[in-house]
Amino acid sequence: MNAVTPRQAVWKLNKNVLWYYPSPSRKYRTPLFLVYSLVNRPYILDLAPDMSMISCLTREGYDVYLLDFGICGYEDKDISLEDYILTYIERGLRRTRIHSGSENVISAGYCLGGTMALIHAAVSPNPPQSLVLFAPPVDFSRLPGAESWTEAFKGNPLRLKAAVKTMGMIPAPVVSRTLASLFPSSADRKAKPVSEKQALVQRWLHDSVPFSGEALSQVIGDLVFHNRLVTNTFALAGRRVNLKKVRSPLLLVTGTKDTIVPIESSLPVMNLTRSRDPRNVTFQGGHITLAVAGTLPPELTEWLSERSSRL
Amino acid sequence: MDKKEILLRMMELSNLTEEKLKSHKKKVKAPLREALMPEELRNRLEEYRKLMELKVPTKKDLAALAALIRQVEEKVDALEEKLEKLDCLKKDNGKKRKDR
Repeated sequence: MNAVTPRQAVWKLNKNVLWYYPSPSRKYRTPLFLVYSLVNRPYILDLAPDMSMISCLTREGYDVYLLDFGICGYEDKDISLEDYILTYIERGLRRTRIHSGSENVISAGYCLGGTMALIHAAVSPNPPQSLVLFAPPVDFSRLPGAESWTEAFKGNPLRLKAAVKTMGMIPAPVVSRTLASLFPSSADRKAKPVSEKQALVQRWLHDSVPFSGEALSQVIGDLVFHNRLVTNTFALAGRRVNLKKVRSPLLLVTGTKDTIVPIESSLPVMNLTRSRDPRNVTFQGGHITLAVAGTLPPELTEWLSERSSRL
Repeated sequence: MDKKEILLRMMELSNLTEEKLKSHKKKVKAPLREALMPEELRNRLEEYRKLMELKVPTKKDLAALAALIRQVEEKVDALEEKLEKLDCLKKDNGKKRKDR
């Protein structure tokens, strides 16, 4: 699906693309670097002219960079969280700095992209100056369905590693159906849309992408089953990830009606990091409300403005 | 046979062979010996062995090749990044000189 906000690709690596959305009325030197989840496709952030978070940000005067991980094929079955975080996000951020000419960058992650942006901020040798996390799952035991997954592992009917080894990639329909089973409230996918906007969202909901087997194994095994971010035992490339190393200003944005990543799953991030300025903004809405609302909460725009250098 | 046909036939043979071996092992309840193998099974194994010798690349081989390509791309990207940084530095220095 085509983006609605004008953009250009400024960097490509493997299947990753760094998209640049120039602001039509640039007010800030500081760009925003967006990291989206691995589960669905990032065009939800730029769905339609009046349903685009990216467009809202560019209208506010920010240049926006979006890291699109692309669509995995069987050949990408061994791509791990190390690849996503230590290579793609790290290099994407560096390229954003080079292209924008600004050392000061605000990194913003949505959903699992938020979790990865958070981990990246903890391990990067040159982390982003500020961090915005939109509904990131952090305490995975608080996610709906997490108990069933844990039970399935304990009883051992679900042999994740064996399944991953056999399939290599987790096909998009499997990802899509698993999500539907986990989040029935969000996935009334057979209901007829009542508006054009709803139709666009439903189309996006159906448009899952395949998941690299290796990365899925880490997400479910380490993050969901062992809840390693909360127990401070998560490791990347053999090195422990210490979230206390995140010192940058941190804004957590959560929705009151988010049933996919409930507030209680994201909130622990406030205590797990040592951000010098942690704040939480809660708005009325669900998991993707902010992406498609066509407006930004005033607290968010204020926060961004305070941490950006004006031109 | 083209490559696809060979691979499909190999998959077919390996599945059948494995199944038959299992059922055969159960039936005889003894280590499988050449003498105990039925003629059909032996033929299938032989055909499989011959197809193996053709060394047709499988999906896994292609994935391994893709991983190598990824590594090369990443190294090239690291070099490109260094060059871009140098370019940026040159531009910045140029600007500073002009400002003076």
